[in-house]
Amino acid sequence: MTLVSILGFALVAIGLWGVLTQRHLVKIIVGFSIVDTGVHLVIVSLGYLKGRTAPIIDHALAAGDAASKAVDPIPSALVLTAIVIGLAVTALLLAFAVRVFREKKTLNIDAISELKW
Amino acid sequence: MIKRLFIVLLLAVTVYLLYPLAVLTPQQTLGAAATHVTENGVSELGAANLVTSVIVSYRGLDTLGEVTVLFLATAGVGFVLFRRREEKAVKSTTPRAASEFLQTGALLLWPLIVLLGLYVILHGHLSPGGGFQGGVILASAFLLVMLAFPGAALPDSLRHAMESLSGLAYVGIGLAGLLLGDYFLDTRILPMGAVGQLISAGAIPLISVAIGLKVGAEMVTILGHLRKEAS
Repeated sequence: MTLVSILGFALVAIGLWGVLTQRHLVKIIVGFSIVDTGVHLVIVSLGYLKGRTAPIIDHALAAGDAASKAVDPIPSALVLTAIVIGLAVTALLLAFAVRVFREKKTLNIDAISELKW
Repeated sequence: MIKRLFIVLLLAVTVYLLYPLAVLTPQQTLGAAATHVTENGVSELGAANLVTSVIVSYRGLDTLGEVTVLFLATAGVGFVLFRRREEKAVKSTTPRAASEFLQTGALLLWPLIVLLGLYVILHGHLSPGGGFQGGVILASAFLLVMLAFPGAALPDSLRHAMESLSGLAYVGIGLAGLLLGDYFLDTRILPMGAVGQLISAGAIPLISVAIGLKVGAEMVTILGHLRKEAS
């Protein structure tokens, strides 16, 4: 349990709280983004090994030493993928929010009750 | 009140589900997959940046899928924000011009940001960076121009051509790997070169360029849709 993963979990909790309690659509989308960031931090911290360096071969890290001196490159690659997907999802959510505003002239979710039961 | 209770309950369940991850002791050695990548990545693929070799080659199919997700999201944004012609006619306000500082600064910075984006794309197999990061930097240059000149129209045909051709190039390189190499998205179809050189690592730089142009074009498309909505 590292400081970074604690921070990540805290961000996940804050984001979830925001998604569940806020009434404004844009604030809910911001909550989703915060959950995203928290998950990224947790995944990166899982791949981090104390005292090791970035998995890039250069004058500071010889190719033969990589297995003993570099951190895990796979979580970094996963997070890189997840960041772009998160951005695409956020853009799509914002487009939905724009569309809702166009139809309803408000972003308050209390005014959107067609699917409520 | 009952809503509050549900929210607290849900957060408690989340904490409970995440608890096993929290008490996990940090690993001291690399896992099996990571060991393979760090030990054999350079000799197998020739890329100095092992993260890039994971993204482009070891998990290349995932990246292709990811680019597809990005494309779908862009298409979704365009679909959701679509206006019929009669709806368009209602609004006719011209956007307020940006300040002179922003206009001058944008014209000065635009080529530099594009240059940085291309640099990050082309050096993805050598240093931190790659197609996704560089593509987003490219898009940020166009965002700056959009902010500085709100009335200016972007050349749609160029963007559409770039978007389609880069996606096609990515799949084409993958198919070339199937024909000339051993498997789909095999990056070893081109000569390896010396590790650390700009032209090395087989087809990885080419795939980076394709991803970079694709991501840049998708981002500019999303920004363009959202800008149309604002004006």
